[in-house]
Amino acid sequence: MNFRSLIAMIAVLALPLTAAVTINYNAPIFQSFQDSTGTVLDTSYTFAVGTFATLTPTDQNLSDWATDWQELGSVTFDTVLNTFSGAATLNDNSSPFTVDTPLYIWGYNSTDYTTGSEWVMLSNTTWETPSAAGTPPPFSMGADQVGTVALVGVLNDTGDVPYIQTAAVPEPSFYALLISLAVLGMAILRRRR
Amino acid sequence: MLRTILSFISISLAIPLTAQTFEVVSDPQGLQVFECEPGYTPIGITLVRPWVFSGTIESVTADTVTFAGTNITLDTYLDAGVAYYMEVTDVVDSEYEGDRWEVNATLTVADDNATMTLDMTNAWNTVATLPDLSGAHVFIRPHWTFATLFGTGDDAQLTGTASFTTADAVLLFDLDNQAFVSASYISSGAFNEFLSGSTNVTNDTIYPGQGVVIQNNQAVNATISYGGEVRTNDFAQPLIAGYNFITEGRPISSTPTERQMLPAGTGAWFGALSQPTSDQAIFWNGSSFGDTYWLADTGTSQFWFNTATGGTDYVNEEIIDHRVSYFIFRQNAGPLNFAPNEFPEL
Repeated sequence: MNFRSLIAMIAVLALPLTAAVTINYNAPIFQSFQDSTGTVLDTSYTFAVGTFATLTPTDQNLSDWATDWQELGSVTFDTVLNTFSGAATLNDNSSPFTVDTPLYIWGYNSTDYTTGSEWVMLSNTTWETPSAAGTPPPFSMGADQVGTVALVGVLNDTGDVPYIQTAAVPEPSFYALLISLAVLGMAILRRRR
Repeated sequence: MLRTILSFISISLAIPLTAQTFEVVSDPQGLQVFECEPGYTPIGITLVRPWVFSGTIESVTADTVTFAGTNITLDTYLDAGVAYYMEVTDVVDSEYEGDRWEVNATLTVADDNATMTLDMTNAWNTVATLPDLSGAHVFIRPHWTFATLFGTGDDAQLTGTASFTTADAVLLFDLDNQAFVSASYISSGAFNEFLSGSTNVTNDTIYPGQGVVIQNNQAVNATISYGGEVRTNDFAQPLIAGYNFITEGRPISSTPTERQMLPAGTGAWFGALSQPTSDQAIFWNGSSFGDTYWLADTGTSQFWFNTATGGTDYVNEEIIDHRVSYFIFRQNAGPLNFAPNEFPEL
C-alpha cells in the first residue's frame, strides 16, 4: 500500500465535521390570525419552535407543556405582514434535540396554563429534528406545508378565515366542569347533613 | 444540474478626432447565466457592478481617504442610500491590490468633498485597520444586493409567492452561526420583497466573494442571469477557522496550486494525514455539500485528495470552478489575503 492509498483510506474513515443547521418556521404572509374570541392577534403573541423533553403533547396533558417545553427559538407575531417567520439555529444534536425528535411550533400569549392564556400548537409528521452535522441547507417548518395540523387551536388550510385561531387554555368548558363538580359536591354535602 | 454561460467583451475604440487620436478601452464586461433546476443550486457571483468613481489616494486617516485632484466632490458620484466598497486596483502597484473596505456613503455624501469616510467596523473589510494607501489607485463600486442581482416585481428572476414554503429563496452562509440562512422571495399583490424571517433584506448586500445558493421551489428550472464587469485586479478573501462559503473573485477556474492552497502559499494552508484535521474544499455533489477535497501533507509532499477517489492528486487540476459557490473549511483562520497576487492577469 503506497502513501496515497493509506491517506485515502484514512480519509474515508474520517468523521464528518459539525457545523449547524438553521430551522425556519413560518406561515404565509397576510393571513388572518385570531384568538378564541375572534380578536386579531397582536404583538403580545409569540411563535416558538421547540420540542418536549419527555411528553407527547395532547389535550390531556396541557398543564404539563410549559415545564416540559424545550424552546429553540421564538419570534413575536408580525402585525405588519400578519404572519410569523423565524429562524433558529440548531448547533448540535444534544438532548433533547436528537436526530428525528419531533419538532413543534407553539404560538402563545403566555405559556402558563391559566385563565387568559391562548395557544395554538402546530405539528407535522415531517418535522423531525435534522442532523446539524456538515453544512445542511435550512430545515423548513411551514404552517402551510402538507400534513401540518393544529394539536390545540385551529389551522384552516382550506382558505377559510381565520387561517389560524388560538384556543383558550384551560378551555372555558374545563372551568364549567369544575364549577359543576363543586356545585354537585356541595349538593351532596347538604343532603348528607 | 448547473449550466452557466459566460461571455466577455472588452470594447476598444480608436477614434480619430481632428488632430488627435483617442483610444477608449472599456473594462471587460461579462454576462453570466445560471440554469437552476428544482432544488438547490450553488452559483458563483464573480462579476462586479460598474465602478462609480476611480481615483488615486492622496492621504489617509484612521477611517478616511482623501483623493488627489482638484474640485472632487464625492457626493456627485455616490448616493447616500447605496452600499459601496473601495477596492485597490492594479492601476498603480500597491501591496494592497485587491483589498477592500466598506464605504460610509452617508457621511461621505454629507461631507461633499474629496474625502471619503470608510466603515472600519465592517467585518467584510479585508484589512481591519486602514494602512497608508497614499498613491494607491482605487475603484468605488456599489455592492450587489438581492434586488439588483435577482430583481423584484416585474424584474423578478425568482418565483415569489405569499408562502415561505413555495417561494424561491436565496441562501447565504452565516459565518458566526456556521449555518445557512434563507431569504425567501415573498410576493403578494404589491408586496415583492426578500424576507429573512420577517426581516426585509431586499436591499441588503451580497458581498464580493460571498457564496450564494439558489433554492428553486418550483417544478421547472429557474434562469438567473446578470451582467457586470470583470475584476481585473487581484482579489483578497479573508478566511476564518471553520466553514467559509465563498466564490471566486473573478470568472476564472483554477487549480489548488494556482490558488496557493498549499502550506507554503500566501494562505498558509494546513494539511495533515486525515481529512478532518486538514483544510478542505467542499463542493455540491447534486444532493449535498459532499464532494470533499482535502490537503494531505506528509511534511515533505502535499496532495489535494478527494474523499471519493482515493489517492488521485488534484493539486494541479482545475477543481476550483468559478461558476459555483463552495465551502472552504479551515483549521485555522487564514491570513487576510487568500490568493492575492497569483491569479493570471486578464
